[in-house]
Formats: sequence, structure tokens, C-alpha cells
Amino acid sequence: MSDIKNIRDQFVSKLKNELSLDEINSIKTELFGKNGQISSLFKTVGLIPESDRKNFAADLNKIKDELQSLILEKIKEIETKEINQKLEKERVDITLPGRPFVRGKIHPVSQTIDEISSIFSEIGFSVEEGPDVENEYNNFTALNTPDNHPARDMHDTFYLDENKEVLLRTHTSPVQIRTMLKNKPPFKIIAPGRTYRSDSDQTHAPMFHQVEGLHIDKNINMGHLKGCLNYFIKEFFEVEKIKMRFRPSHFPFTEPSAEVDIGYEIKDGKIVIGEGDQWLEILGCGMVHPNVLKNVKVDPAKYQGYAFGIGIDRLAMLKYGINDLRAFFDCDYRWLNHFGFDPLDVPTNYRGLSR
Amino acid sequence: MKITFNWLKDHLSVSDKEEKLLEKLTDIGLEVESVENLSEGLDLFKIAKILKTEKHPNADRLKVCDIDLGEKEIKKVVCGAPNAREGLITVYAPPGAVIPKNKTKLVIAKIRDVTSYGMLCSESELNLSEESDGITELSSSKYNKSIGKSFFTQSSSNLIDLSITPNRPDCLGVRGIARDLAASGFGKLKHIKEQKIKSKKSQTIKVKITNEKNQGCFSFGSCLVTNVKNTESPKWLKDKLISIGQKPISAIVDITNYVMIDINRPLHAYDADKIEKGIIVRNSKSGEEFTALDNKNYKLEDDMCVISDDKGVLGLGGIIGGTRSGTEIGTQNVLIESAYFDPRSIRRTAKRLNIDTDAKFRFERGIDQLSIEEGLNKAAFLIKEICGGEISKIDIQKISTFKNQIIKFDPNSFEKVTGFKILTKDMLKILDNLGFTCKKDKKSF
Repeated sequence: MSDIKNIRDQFVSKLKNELSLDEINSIKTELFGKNGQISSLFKTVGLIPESDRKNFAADLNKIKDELQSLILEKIKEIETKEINQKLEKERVDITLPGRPFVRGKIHPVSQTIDEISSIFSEIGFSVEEGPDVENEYNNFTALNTPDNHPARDMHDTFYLDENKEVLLRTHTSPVQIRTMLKNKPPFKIIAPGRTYRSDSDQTHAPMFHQVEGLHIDKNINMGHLKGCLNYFIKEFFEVEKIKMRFRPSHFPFTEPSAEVDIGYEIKDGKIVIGEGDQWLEILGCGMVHPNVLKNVKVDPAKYQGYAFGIGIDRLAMLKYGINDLRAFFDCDYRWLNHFGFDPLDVPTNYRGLSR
Repeated sequence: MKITFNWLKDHLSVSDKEEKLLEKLTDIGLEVESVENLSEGLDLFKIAKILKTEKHPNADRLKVCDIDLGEKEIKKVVCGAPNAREGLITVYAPPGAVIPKNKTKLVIAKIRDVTSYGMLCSESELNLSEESDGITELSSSKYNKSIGKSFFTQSSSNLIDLSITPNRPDCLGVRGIARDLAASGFGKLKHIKEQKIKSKKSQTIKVKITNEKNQGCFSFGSCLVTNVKNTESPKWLKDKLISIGQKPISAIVDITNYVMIDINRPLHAYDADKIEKGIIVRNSKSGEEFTALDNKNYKLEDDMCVISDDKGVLGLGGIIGGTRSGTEIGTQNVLIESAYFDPRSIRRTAKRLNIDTDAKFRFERGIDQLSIEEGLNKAAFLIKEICGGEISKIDIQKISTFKNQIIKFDPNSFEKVTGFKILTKDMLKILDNLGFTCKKDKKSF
């Protein structure tokens, strides 16, 4: 009898402690498992003298019941506690309103690049790309701008090494070189991208965007250049007529070279493109210099053609009435929201470029 | 490149208006960057005579002057100049006039309780010279009859700023621009007969160009003008330089600047008495130093083209002269340099030392090698005319001979590249007007 009492006292006090479910289970096994202390005592019932047997079994059953109910109670207690904890932790307020769904906007520069690409692909140009980090050869030398040439003064270049061999491209023209070295003529490509010059004020940013155009074939002349640019400008500004002029200029990589101005006027404080007696410079162009063709192993006696470079930021400003170039790169959310475009409205020629 | 229509008319017979000119310039690739009316309001500045001066009642150094402008009314002006005196003819600026030097607009003001109507101007305030110690003194014999008239005569010429692309060094002089305009059908280029030096006196300062590797000077022309009296420039010359925004300094310096701008021929004037023995044009040695006319001291590296004498470096050829041999008002003998420097060498040196001058700008783009004598002729006669003196023979040293370049041009290529046609006859005419000598090659015609 004292044995049973000992076991009972021992386990009742054990079960009073703070226990985990695992610990309780192991206690359960210790008592009622196949070789558990209580189970073992039951096995001894037959060996007990008849006189004591009845009392012994009754006591044993009583303690068994007591311990079992104690264990069950403990398990229930733990489970309730765990559930309460879980409920506390994972409480959801189903009365809260749903999260708002915000759709981002397309930056005006990206939109303009898409518009430009769309217009030129319509007339047979494919889009090429080149890296922002260029070598000196592709950016200057191959484009007929030798060392010490004053034309290099026009570019305030960001050099990336002391030998001035690696730089941030100052224009998208090196893409011409890469494209022509890679393939065989004819070429008809545009190359939009970022360009860099160390210049910074209201109308110049150290990083800006250009699109390069190149068309080389057997009989491409300045007339084709003029037609192409005239078409582009009309499409881009979505106007029927455009006043434009070619003004002689100089670039080392083209001969003859021209800058293109378009007419504009200010009406009611707003700029109107395509008419008026003011001129606005928007791009540089010309017939690709024979030396450039020689540098890329194209025979200038057989092939000729034109190239142009357009400042994308300037075009975007004009088309969308943006006054300060710096706003493009300020990342002001309100500005982006106002001037940005719906990402689902991809510009196409037949659907209209901009909405 | 800054020009005025008036200056262009020295080389161009033309009856068109300035508006047309601006259009044409941009049309032929000489882009008009800006047009500025420098002389706006300059007609307000009047020639005036001081009738009477009185001490200012409340200031020791100020005077109250009665000014005669040839009108009935006498103007009262408070003036602090020590040379303000009775009978002096000077320049008066009325209220509303803008002082050229500091761009301040005059208002009627009370100076220590005395009201001053306008101001009497010093030469420095009028951008005429550095003279700022007193008001302008005009000679009474010359100006006595002009009292009340405008002091500045060239009042209607705008300053036209052109952006000249690096491939057009020929248009860095007024004559070159006139030539281009004439070839495009705007006006007719005036034929100006070159006055040639026919002196028997030899140029006594020995010049030597060392024949070494990387020599940046190909030829060096010089002419000595002796017994000159360097003065202030005459009014026409001052007006010319002022009209394009330059400051007159002294006759000799002004003449070299004038010739540079007029015919795109940079020159340099040395005070011949300050040259030790002779001139040696050579490469610099690392460590050599000199003080340039911009008052900065430059430390030279190896292989920069320098003009030197026995004592050391005088100047950087084609870039900037030095203070040691510069001309001054007291200069008596002038050596004029008219040389040709290699654009690459000029560019390299100027970039290393970070110097930018008008001469450097022109030499790095390329100067007409055949203009050496023309520049010397023009400058020497002007010096003689303004400063007196005797002109020596021209001395030209050279280490290589310049040959006219022959450019092969196939008239058919024009249509092939541009897509439209011009008659060969018309092409030849344009080329001729641009100064080319054309020779037909039978095969191409």
C-alpha cells in the first residue's frame, strides 16, 4: 500500500509543476505505458494474498483514476492556454477595409523613348543598345575625333580611369560603331540611351538621354535624312505641318553636318510647336563621315548614309510642357504622378502615341 | 566671336538691314548666339562744359559744378573729381543714363543736402581707359563746338555674338566672315589693297627657331618699329574695340588686337629694348618659370613652345606674352611678332597650364600660314600712323615651308551626298568667292 501511496504523492507533486505537452506525455508513459509504474502494479495483483487483494486493487484503481484525470486536466489546461496564445497572436480584424491598389506610372522619359521607338520602327528602323561605360576609342577616336581635337572641348567627359581610356559615354554615337563592327551593311537602326557630361544647370543635367539614328546603304543622301526627320517630328508632336530648318553646323563624325531647328511660338503662355517665328534647336545630324565608315570596315566608296542624335529629355519637355529638366531626376512622387503615364497605354502609331 | 555690322562693313559693301544679316549668318552656319545692344542709351552721354565750380557747403572734397549743355538751362552737378574746374570740357551723364563700367543707373540724388542732376564721368567709368583719378578731359579746341552733342558716335551698332564651330577657323576674323557672307550672296567683299613694307632698314633683332623634336613653331615673322611714342589709341580705334566689348589699353596693344580681330592674325608686340640680345624660339625645360601678362606665374614642363631671349622665357608662343618684355606707355622700340604655331602644341600647353586667351583660341584651331606678312604690314603701318617711328624690313625665320594644299573635289559627289543638283558653273563661282583657286581636271568634267 505504501508503494502505491508513494507513487501517487510523487506524481501528484510532479504534475503540479509547469509542464509542456511532451513532458506530460512522458509522465503518462512512465505511469501507464507497457512497463509503466501503475501498469506494472496491476500485473502484480494476482500475486497478492487473497485477503489483501481486494483492498489493493481498489486502492490501485482509485489512484490510477486520480492520476489519469489529473493528467487529462493538465493536458486540457495546456491546450487551452496554447489556443488562447495563438488566438491572441493571430488575431485578425475582419472589419478592416482592404488595402488600396496602386498602379505605378511610366516616367515621361520612358514614355518618350517608347514613342520614339514606335515611330522609327514603323519606318523600318530596329532598336540597338550599347553600354553606358564606353571606351575612349568608341566614344571619340572611331568617330573621327582625334586626340587634341577642339571638338573634344565641347564634351566635358566623365573619365573613369587615369589614362582616360574608360569613360561614361558622352553621346549615343558609339552604338553606331558597335553596330557597324558587329554586322554588315545596310544598317538602319536607332539607339536610345543614357549619356553623361559634366554639366549641370537648368537646361543641362550631368546624365541625360539621347537617341541615335543611323541609316547606311548604297544611295542614302541628305534628302532621305530630311524626309526621315520631318516625318519623325510630325509624328512625334502629332501635328500635320511642321516648320523646320537645317542649319549648317559641325560634328567630327559627319560631313556635311547640320543642326535642326523647329519653329515655335508662345501663345497664352504656352509653347506651340510647328509654327511661329522663333526657332528651337532640337537635334544634330549629318552624312556619316567617310573616316567613320573606314574605321568600321565599311567601304565609303560603296556605302553612304546619315546619322542623327536627338536629345530625348528636351523633346519630352517640349511635348509635355515640363519647364525644368532637373524635375526628371528629382524622384518627386507628386511630380511623377502628375506627369507619368499609364503603364497599360503602350504608345503605338495607329492607336495614338500619347493620351 | 563677337562682331558688329559696322565693322563688317569695313570689308563688305552691302545695303541690307541688320535683320537680314542675322538671318544670313545663321543660314551659312555662323550661328548667331545673341544680339546685344551695347550702346543702348550711350547717346545720353553728352559733351559738356563746366561753367563754374563752387565748394560744396557740407563737404570739403566735393564741388558743385554748373554745367553747360548748350541749352538755356544750366545743370547743377555735384562732383568729387580734383580736376573739375572752370572751362573744362568733359562728359556728362544725365539721370537715367547707365554707367558703362558698373551698369548703375543714375538718379537725381541729394548729396549732403545738395541736389545733383547727373554726373561727370571719368574715362574709366566710360570704359575708355583705366584712368579713374579725375573726370574725362576733352581738348577744348576740338570739342568747343560740340557742346551738347552726344559723346559716343557709334550708337546704333549691335554686338553680335557668333558661335563659330571648330572647323571654321577662317571665320575667327571679321574679314573671313565677310568673305563667307559675300560668297553666299550677301553683299560684295571689298578689295582692300595691302600696303606693303618697303623699308631698307633691316630688322636688327636676331630671331632663331631651334630645329628640335616637337618644335611647336614653324615660322616666325617679325618687324621692328623704332622711335615710337606709345599713346592712347585714337577714338576710331577705341570705338572699334569698345563696340565688340573689349577694353582699349594702349595704341600698340590695341593695334595688335585690332589686327587679330579684323583679319584673324594674332600678333604679339614686344618692347624691343627689353629683349636681351636676340629671340630664340625653343622647347621649354621642366622647371622654367615666367610671369605672364595675366600677372600669373607659370611653371613650365618639358617641350612647351616658348619665345625666349638670353635671360630666359619671354612668353608662351601663340598663347600669352610675359610681363618682362611687354609694351608700356614709355616703350620706344617695338618688335611685332607674327608667327605660326602648331595647333596640337598650343592645345597641349594651354591645357596643361589651364590658360585660355584669344590668341590660343585661334592658333589651336589653325591660323592661315600665309597671313604672317599681311599681319606685319597692317600692324606696322598702323603703329607708324598712330605712334610714329620707322619701320624695318620684315624678317621671317622658318623651319618648314608651307605649301598650298590641293583638295580634289568631284562635282558629282555633291549631288550624291546631298540629293540635289547645283550646276558646276555655280559651284565654281561659290568656290572662287570663297577664295579658292580652281583648276579643272579633265577626267571629272
